[in-house]
Amino acid sequence: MEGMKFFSDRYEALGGKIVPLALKDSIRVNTLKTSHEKLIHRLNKNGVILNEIPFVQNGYFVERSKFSLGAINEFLQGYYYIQEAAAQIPVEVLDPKPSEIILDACSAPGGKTTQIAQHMKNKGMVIALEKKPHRIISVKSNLERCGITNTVLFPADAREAHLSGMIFDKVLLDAPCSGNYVTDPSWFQKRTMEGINNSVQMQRELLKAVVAVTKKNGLIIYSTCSLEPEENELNMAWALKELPVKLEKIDLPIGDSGLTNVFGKELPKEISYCRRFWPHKTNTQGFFIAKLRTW
Amino acid sequence: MVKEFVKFFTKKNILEGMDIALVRGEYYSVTSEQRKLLPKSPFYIGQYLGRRRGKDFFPSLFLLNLLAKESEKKISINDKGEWLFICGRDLFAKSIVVKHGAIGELVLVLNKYEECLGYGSIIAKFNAEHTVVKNLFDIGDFLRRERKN
Repeated sequence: MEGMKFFSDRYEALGGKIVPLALKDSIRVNTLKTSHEKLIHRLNKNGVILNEIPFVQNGYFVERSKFSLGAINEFLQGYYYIQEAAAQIPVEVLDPKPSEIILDACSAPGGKTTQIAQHMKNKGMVIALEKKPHRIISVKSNLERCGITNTVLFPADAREAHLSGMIFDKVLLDAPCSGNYVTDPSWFQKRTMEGINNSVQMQRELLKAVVAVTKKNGLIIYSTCSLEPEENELNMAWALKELPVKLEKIDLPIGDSGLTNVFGKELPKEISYCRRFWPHKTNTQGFFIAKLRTW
Repeated sequence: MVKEFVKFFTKKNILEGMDIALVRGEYYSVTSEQRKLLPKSPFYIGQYLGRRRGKDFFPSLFLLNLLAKESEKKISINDKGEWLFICGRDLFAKSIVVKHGAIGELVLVLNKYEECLGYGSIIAKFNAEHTVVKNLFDIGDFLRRERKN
């Protein structure tokens, strides 16, 4: 239960397919520190050509650059964050407001954490958790670089979020997952169903934990960069059955509806409210987003 | 330590009104709501100001840019100098466009947009042909920190 042929057959059974795809680099303008116009002007002067990403507010594809965008002064000053296009969507669906208290349950490397703070205009409060010591350094560095002041970062496992004693208006659970073949060329050599099932176990524990710290009628955005239905639609079917949540429709001009039939198994119709990003259709990495409302 | 560092560059109390907390050897300006979370040992909280390591202090990007607005002790460098400086290199006279300060003094290093790139120590006269400003800290540190991890 591994290898490219195995996964290719699975994807075809779900309406997907494997295509070689060279992802365009993309950035998100950090409007806490600069404006779109100023940044575009400065990068253009350095020969960088950007094109708006049509489905997000602050994102641009990098069409041309003579140098690494991760090593120049404009990057170090925090004027932008290098963030894959699909990865910019979950926070936009979360729609953070300046008055809210928001949990970013698995925050490394900090792209979505800084994006949440940006939407909140550095007001309200973000609690960011990251359990891996080597990854939390990146979060901290990105918070500083992007000028984030409304965030408190803890070295903690989100499955213990209840220990904070806090209740959140909204939660982003960008869950650790098996990833996808677009962003990892050796993905097919590394992944097995056993590994995917281990991810599922953790994802369910995380879902249970974040539901417990979300206020009634609060919002949880669940996302993964996995194409595997076990980590996505099947987890949502489990959540609808086991947790006090319902799914809400995500209106996006990109992505397919969540699958409601997975390998012959019928799932609740509401799962179609989720969005699934097949790389061959979206030209992004593989991605999945669900919008859960607590009750 | 953060206050002593600021005094190298300005007599103005630019930290006035900030509620400064020391967390794991790092200085932060915190709000009253954030202060309540300090007992839970955060890894980052509020506005980061810098960190101490031994006798040294490493300022945050925020503090550097705040100082750059208020301090007279600053020099401005050209594009080539900017690239070399954020790569951790010292500065030669030919990179320095706006000169200020005397040998032995600390200066903030700015680019043409008046963004602070770090700071250094003046070690020779501005007409010298060798290194004039020794790089003590630059914002390329963000990348070097990442690589260490």
